[in-house]
Amino acid sequence: MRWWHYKSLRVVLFLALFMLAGETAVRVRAYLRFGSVDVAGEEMYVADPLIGKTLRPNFILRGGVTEVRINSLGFRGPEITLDKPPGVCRVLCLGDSVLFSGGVPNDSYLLTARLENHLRTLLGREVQVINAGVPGYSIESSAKLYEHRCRRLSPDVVVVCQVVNDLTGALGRAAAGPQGGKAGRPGLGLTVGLRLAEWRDKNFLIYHLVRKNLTTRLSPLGTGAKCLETLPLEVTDPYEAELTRLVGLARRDGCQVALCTAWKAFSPAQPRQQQHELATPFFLILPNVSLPALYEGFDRFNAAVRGVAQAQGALLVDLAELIPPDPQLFSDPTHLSAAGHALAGELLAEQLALSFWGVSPHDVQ
Amino acid sequence: MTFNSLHFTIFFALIFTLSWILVRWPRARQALLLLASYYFYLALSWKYVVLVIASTLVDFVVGLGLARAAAPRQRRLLLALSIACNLGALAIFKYANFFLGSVYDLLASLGCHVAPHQLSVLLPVGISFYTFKTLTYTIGVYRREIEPTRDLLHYALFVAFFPQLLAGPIARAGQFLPQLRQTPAFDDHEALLGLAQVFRGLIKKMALADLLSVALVDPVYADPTRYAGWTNLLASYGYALQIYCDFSGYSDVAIGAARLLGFSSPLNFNRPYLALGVRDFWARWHISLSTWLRDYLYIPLGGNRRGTGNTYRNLFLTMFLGGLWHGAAWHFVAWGAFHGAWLILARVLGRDRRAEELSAVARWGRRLLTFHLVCVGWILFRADTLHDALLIGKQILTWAPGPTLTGLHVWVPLLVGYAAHGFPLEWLDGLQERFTRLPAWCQGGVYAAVVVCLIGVGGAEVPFVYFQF
Repeated sequence: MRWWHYKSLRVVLFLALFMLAGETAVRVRAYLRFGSVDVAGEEMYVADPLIGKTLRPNFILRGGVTEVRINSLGFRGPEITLDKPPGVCRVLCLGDSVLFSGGVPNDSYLLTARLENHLRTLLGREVQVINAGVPGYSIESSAKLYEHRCRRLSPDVVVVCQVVNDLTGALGRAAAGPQGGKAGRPGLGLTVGLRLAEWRDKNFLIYHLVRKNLTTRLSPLGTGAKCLETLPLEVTDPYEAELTRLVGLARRDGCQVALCTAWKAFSPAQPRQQQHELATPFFLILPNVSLPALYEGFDRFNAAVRGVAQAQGALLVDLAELIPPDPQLFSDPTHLSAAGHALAGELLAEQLALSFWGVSPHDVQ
Repeated sequence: MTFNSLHFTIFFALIFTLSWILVRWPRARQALLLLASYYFYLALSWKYVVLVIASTLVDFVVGLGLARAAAPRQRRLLLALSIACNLGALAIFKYANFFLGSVYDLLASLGCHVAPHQLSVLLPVGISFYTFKTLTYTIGVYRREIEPTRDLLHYALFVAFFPQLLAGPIARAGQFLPQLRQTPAFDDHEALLGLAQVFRGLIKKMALADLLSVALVDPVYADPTRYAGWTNLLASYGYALQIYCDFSGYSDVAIGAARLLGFSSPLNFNRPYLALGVRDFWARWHISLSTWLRDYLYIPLGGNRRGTGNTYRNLFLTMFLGGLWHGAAWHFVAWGAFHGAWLILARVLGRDRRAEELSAVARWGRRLLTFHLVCVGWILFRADTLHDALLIGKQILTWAPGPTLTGLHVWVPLLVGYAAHGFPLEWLDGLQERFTRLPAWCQGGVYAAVVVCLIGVGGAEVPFVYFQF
């Protein structure tokens, strides 16, 4: 008998075919909506020996709902020259996906574009804001990006909006405990299991779609006895050290520096159920972290930003306090919607103009 | 590598395919299954595979020795060696720190403070299960119930067979070894049923047990006084269902996976919460363990053959040690003692009437009473300490006010789980049988939908409850 004569094997084959058909369907949908079927989003990056990975120059991602353009220098947004044009004030914004904002329809909706427009109006001169946000970056990679790529742009002001990836990384390590950190030597199963999980994450869009749309509804994430409730004391130490180093670098280059705290869509003032729902995407990546630990994480990292700003004499733009936790302003727990970008751009412009140029919105009116 | 991981899915697909390709070469097939079993164990606990191999070698040699030895004294010595090695390993790895800790606590309560010392050993996963498995072999050979095997490959595979290695069912040598002497033929229908059983187990584990654990049981048991009395009660019902779905789900996957590889395994659960009494409960719950305790502990202790007092002692001792087998902690001991006392009480009261002799109302009354007493036992079992168990009891009995913990995440798995538990096994088997008659594309489509849903409900990873034993 040939193998296909066995019904059991045909059942398994059909199971695989159905899964494959599902994967194809979600990829077609992704292509139509976002212009890409790249599961891990790797096509947007190129390897860099000094920084790790950077955005691919001249890359365009065009879908039905979004258009992302990377310029020839590897930054999101319109083309700019390497040399600063005479008379132009350059503002460099460093950060992660929160700043990059892949889900915003196009460049004109971005916080950086809004900031540029507002500053131009407030200062009455030419301003160029560069969005140097890269999805997945930590403070360490942002510092490297500044050191190796951004200095030559001669910015006048450096704005750092870089908290969330450092926070999730630190929470993940804290939840994993000493076994999950570098100190623990993973066994054979753990290594193979992790590699397989990585392979699944990079190749199966259906997995991500199901997790995003079903798990958040069906599974009570962020609860359970094994969830991390409090954070270790030293959790922000590496972040603070690297942020201090970055501020120091920018100051030595003669830049004014502004540090932003991290905003979020959920807050203890909301009903508990709503807080949990809004924070759910965090629990997908941090399944063993509780809501209280998440709050503590934001508080501790924002406190670290405030501490570094004070110690280094940098401008603190406390957007965590200024942007209200209004779901209309957010597309997920930390990424802003178009309305959120508009508000953040305006708030940031007012603070920068007042602190660095002594111009307040009232002066302009 | 757990049964609900991607790692296991790929591993099993590979081993399934290779094992049936090698079916004409039984030795090669068995060698493959043995290597796969060691890999499976290595993937979980690479340090302790040596312990499995050592246990295998000792009992294999003891089995050969028993075959040759004719003198009863010599045979007793060989059996003692096997028991000492197996239970010795269990004592060192599982109980040493518990006993040391208890001694230090006792000394401290007497006012004698000694700097506590703990052995730096970790509990090898599955040690309680494979130790009991190997003992069925040496005791069986000693009692001349089974023939000793002269084939090390067969014996090693019996001990380490991966579907049953970590949490049973505790297969008996007399049931497993003869299967290795036959050349299996791929049975299409058996494979379909095995696949259905694997999926049934995964649904129980991931969609019911894990949801209940995370949404209800873990938060309440972590801090019972924070929640209302009735939420504590709900969590206790929840835990009863969680542990059933977790463990019987594991058993279903284990039995189904073995079935797909052409092996039959003993039944481990039969709707335990419909039991009419404690004896009936133990005839339905973790059947491979309860029959092991009966055959290798209760009966050798004398069973019910040496008078009433001795019968009670034997019952209590069996359940007490059964409790200790589950874990090195006093709350497990208390759980075992509770069941021991209950078995004695049931015997004293003489409630051994057959189910058919009872009216429907009486039957359901006894079922409800039995279920609630089992839940009392589960509170002792699940609570981290005896003090916590008392706190939960107090919260329930005083109907303490406080926040509740309900919602769809709680009610849906509770109601679906208990309703499914009530399904007679024959109905389930009938349903499974009818399902396997559906066209292949239809079954494949249903399984694909189940996979998607299981990915969907998979939140935080919850390990199998019985792995810790």
